[in-house]
Amino acid sequence: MNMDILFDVVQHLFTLEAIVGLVVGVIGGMVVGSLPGLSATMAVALLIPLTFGMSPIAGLVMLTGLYTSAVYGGSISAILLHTPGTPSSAATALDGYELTKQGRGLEAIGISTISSMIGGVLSALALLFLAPPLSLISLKFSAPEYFLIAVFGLTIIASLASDSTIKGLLSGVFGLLIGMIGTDILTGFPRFTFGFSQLESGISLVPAMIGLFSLSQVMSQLEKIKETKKNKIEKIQGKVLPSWNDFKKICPTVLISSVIGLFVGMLPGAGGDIGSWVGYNEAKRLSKNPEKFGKGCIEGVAAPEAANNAVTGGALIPLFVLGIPGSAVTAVLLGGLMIQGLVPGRELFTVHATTTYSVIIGLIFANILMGIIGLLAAKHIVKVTNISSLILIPIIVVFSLVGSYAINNSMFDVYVMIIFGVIGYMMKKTGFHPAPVVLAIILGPLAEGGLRRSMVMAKGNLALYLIQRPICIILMIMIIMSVLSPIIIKYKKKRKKEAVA
Amino acid sequence: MNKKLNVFIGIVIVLFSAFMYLLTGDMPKESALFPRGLIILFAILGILLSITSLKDKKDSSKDIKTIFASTKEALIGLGIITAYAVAINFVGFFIATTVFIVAFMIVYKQKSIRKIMITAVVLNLFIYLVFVYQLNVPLPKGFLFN
Repeated sequence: MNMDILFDVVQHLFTLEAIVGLVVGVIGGMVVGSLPGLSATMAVALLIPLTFGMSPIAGLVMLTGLYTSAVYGGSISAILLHTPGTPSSAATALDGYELTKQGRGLEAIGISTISSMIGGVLSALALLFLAPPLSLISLKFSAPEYFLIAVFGLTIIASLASDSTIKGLLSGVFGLLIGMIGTDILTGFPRFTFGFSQLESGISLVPAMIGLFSLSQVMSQLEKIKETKKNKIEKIQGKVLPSWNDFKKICPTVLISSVIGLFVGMLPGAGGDIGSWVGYNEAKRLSKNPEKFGKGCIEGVAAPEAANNAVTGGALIPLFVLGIPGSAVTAVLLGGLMIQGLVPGRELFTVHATTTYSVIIGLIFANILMGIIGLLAAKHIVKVTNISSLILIPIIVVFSLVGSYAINNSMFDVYVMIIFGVIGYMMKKTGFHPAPVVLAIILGPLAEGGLRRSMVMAKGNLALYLIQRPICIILMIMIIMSVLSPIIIKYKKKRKKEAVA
Repeated sequence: MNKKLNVFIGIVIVLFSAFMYLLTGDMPKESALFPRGLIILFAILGILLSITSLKDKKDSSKDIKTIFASTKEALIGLGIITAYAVAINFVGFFIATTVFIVAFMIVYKQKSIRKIMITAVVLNLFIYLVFVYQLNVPLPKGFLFN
C-alpha cells in the first residue's frame, strides 16, 4: 500500500455518506446486537438491500461496522441480563452476569468494550497487512484449488456443528442441494426448477438468508410472545471505564484472545460463537487462577469479547482473498460485495484497491468508534431491551419483506424468504443449525464448478492431476485433518474418561 | 433431541432423496452427476441418523409435545405474515403494511392505540424515504389500483 492509495482512501472515507454509514452501522450494530433474539447475521442480511443505492465504500463500511459492533453489542445484554444478545456472547454471559450480581456490571461492560475494541482493531490491522500479500495466492488458484478449498470450508462447517456431527453434515448437504437449483452453467440445462423461470438463476441468496436467519428467529420469538417480561432494566450505577490496574491485568488475555479470534475467523465457516468459546477456554487454561472463571473474574469477560471481535477481521481475510466466507456473517457480506459488483480475489487489491482499503481502514475506525460509544452509552443502550417484542417483531417482518423484495423487485423472492423462514424454524426446532446451509449454498456451486472444470483440465485422471499441484496437496492434507480431528478429539475424550473411571 | 423424532427425520430424508433422484432423470449425464452424488450422500446420512438414533442409549430426549408446544403460536404468526405478503399483490405495499401492523398488534393484544399508530406511521415513512425515494425501488402498487 503506497501513499497515493492512502490519500485516495482518506478522500473517499471522509465523505458525508461514508461517515453517516459508519456511524449508523456502529450504533445500529450495538443496538441490534444487544437485543436478544436479533443476531449480527440477521442485521447484516436485513441491511444489505439498503446498501443498494449507496456508494460501495459507504455501504460496505456500514455493513462491516454493523458486524463488529453487533458482536460487541451482544455482550451488553449478556452481562446485564444473562441473555446473550448474539451467539458470540454466550461465553461472556458466564462471568459477566456474575459480575453484575456482585454490583460490578458496569465494570464488566467497560472491560468488554475495551477488549472488543482492541480485538477488533488488531484483527482489522491484520486484515490490512495480511490480505494484500495473501491475495497473491489467489492468482495461483485455479479450478482444482477452488474445488478443494470449497470442500475444506464444508468440512469445517460439518465438524463444528453443535448437536451431532451427522446433523451438521445433513445441514451442509441440504445447503449443497439447494445450491444445485438453477441452470447448470456448463450445459445450460435447468435443474430442479419445477418450471419456474424465476428459479433459473437459482435461489436468490439474500432472501433465502433473510428467511433462514431473520424470519425463523421471528417465528421462535412468536412462540414466547405471550409470556410476560421479567427483568426490566432500571438505572444502573457505577463506573464504566476500567482502572489502570484492571487494564494491565487483562492485557495479556486480550492479546492472546485476539490472536485466537483472528485465526478462528480465518477458518472458513468458524465464526464469533466458536471464537469466543475457544478464547474463553484458553484463557481459563492458561490462567494462574482457573477456578475464578465462572465466578466473576474480568478475564472471563475480556477473553471471549476480544476473541469474538477479532473474528470479524479474520473472517474477512478469506472472504476478500478467495471469496470463501470465514463465518456466517461474512457469507452474508459476500452478498453485499457482489451487489456492489466487487469480486473477491486479487482484483480487490489492484483494480478496486481504493474501495477495499477504504473499507478496511473504515473498519479500524468503526472499532474505535464502537469503543468510544460503548464506554459512553452502554448503560443507555441496554434500555433498548425494554422495547416490547410486539413492536420489534412487526418491524423486523416488514424489513425482511422489503429487503427480500428489493433485491430483484420480485415478490417471488418474498415467498422464497417465507419458505426459508419455515425451513430455518423447523431446522432449529429439530436440532439442526441453519448456518451451514448458507455456507453450503455459497460453497456448493464453487465446489461443483471447480470439480467439473478440473476434470476437463485433467483430461481423465483427476487424482494424478491434483497431486501434481503443490497447493492442492496442502489443501488435501488440511481437508483430511479437519475431517479426522473431531473423531480424534472424541477418541481422546473417551480414553480420558476410561482412565479416570 | 427426541429419539423418535430423529428416526422419523431420517426416514423423511431418505424419501425426499428418492424423490429428488427421480427428478434427475431428465438431466444430461454431466449435469446430473453432482446432484446425484449429493442426493445419495444425503440419503446415506439420513439412514445413519435413523440408525444412530435407534441405538442411542441415553434417552435424554424431550417429549415431542414439549418441543412443539408453542409451534402453534409461531404458525399463526406465519399465517399473518404470509397473508400480508399476498395482500401486497392486491392492495399495494403501504396499505398492506399498515393493515399488517394493526392486525398483528390486535392479535397479540397490544393495547395502546397510540403505539400502533406511531409504529405504522414511522415504519411506512422510513421505508418510503429509504427505499422508494432514496433507492428508487418501485414497491408494488397492487392489482386493485393499477
